Formats: sequence, structure tokens, C-alpha cells
Amino acid sequence: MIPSIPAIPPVSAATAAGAAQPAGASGGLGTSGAATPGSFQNILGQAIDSLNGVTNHATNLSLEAVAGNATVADATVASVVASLDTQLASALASRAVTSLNTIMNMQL
Amino acid sequence: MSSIWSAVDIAGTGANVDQTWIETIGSNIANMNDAVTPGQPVYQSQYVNAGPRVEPSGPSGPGAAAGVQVNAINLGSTKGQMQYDPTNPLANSKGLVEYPVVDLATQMTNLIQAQTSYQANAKVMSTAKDTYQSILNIKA
Repeated sequence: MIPSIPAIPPVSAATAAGAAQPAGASGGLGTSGAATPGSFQNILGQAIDSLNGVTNHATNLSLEAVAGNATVADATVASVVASLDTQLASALASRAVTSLNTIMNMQL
Repeated sequence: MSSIWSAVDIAGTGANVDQTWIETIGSNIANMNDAVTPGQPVYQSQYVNAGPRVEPSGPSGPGAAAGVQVNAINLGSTKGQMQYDPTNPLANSKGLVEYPVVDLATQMTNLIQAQTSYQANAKVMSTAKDTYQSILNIKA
């Protein structure tokens, strides 16, 4: 029998920081169950954490530039990098979801 | 600062150096008429000393190129040019006033060059963004 797949836990701040193991990890898809350092869940959490930092950095630099404490070029670079990071994360996440959907739609 | 979007970062360092360049030119032009009594310190024109910025070390190897940086702001001559103007309250006993050596034509030429360089860096940044986006937009 195929075990039922547990609900995906919400990404909390603690999970994104990698400080705590998610609650629903035991009895997951894999044989080990827990979120190993190389698991997709961990990678996604770290990516979201990193993306959050990049976006915050861009916001702060924009405010600094408006206040006159940072150059416009620095703020623009941070903004472009944040935009590209967001698009990359979005592309990778949708690609991963597509892969999961492909597997879930297999007729067993 | 190094990221996977390094082309954007490198163009940003170029734009920053060009902004410093434009600032020094603006300072030179703004101070070109600063008269002083001979013997007093006269305004020294500023020049940007730029050079390649090198990463300290990293996974890509020691000392990868990472754009450009301002090494120093060099100063021009401490000697100004004397002008005979006895009615000026700053004139000395011989009726001489000292002005900084700033050639307006040279400064204007440098200003246009700095502006073009800034625009070129902005164009590199824009093109790098479009390039990265083209690979993100690939639909499998």
C-alpha cells in the first residue's frame, strides 16, 4: 500500500532559518522521513530565506538612496538583483511543482 | 559583494566610479573662481584615480575581477594662478590675487566623458538583466 502523503507544513520563520525541523516531516515521502540537509524542503526554505534577505537589502538601499546615504547605482543594482532572484525562485518553484504534478498524475 | 548576477554588480561598480568622477568635476567647476590672498591655501583640483576591483578570494579562484573601484582622489597643483586685481579686498600688497588652476574646457570634456561612461554602464546593467531574464523565461 502506498502511504498517504501528509499535508505540506507552512513555511514558518523558524523553518526558513533552518533552526527547527518541520512538524509533519516524520513519515514523509522518503524512507528517512526527516528533512535532510539536501532535501527539497530544506533547499526551498533556505532559498526563501535568502530571497527575503536580498529583497530586504534592496528595500533598505532604496530608502538609503532616497535619504542620500547610498548611491542610486547601488540601489538599482540591489533592485535588479532582487528582481532576478525572485524570478529565479519563482521559476524553480513552478518547475518543481510541475515535476511533482507529473509524478502525481501517473496511473499506478 | 558577489552573486550569481555578477554582470549587474560589475556594471554597478562602474556607475559608482563614474558618479564619483562627475562629483569631482562638479567640485572643480564650482571652485574654479575661489580667490585667495597669495600665500593662503588655494583650491586644488581633484582627479579620480580608478583601478580594477579584485575579489579577495572565493570559490571562483583567488582574485577574480569584480569591476572597478576608486583607488584615491588625487589633488592637482598647490600653486594657483596670479591675477593683478588691486581693487579686490583679498589682494596682497602687490595687488595680486591667486586663483585655482582649473581649465573649464578640460572639465567640460571630462564631464561629457563621465556622462557617456555612466550611460554605458547603465546600458550594460540593463542588457545583463534582459539576458538573465531570457534564460529564466525558458519554458520547458
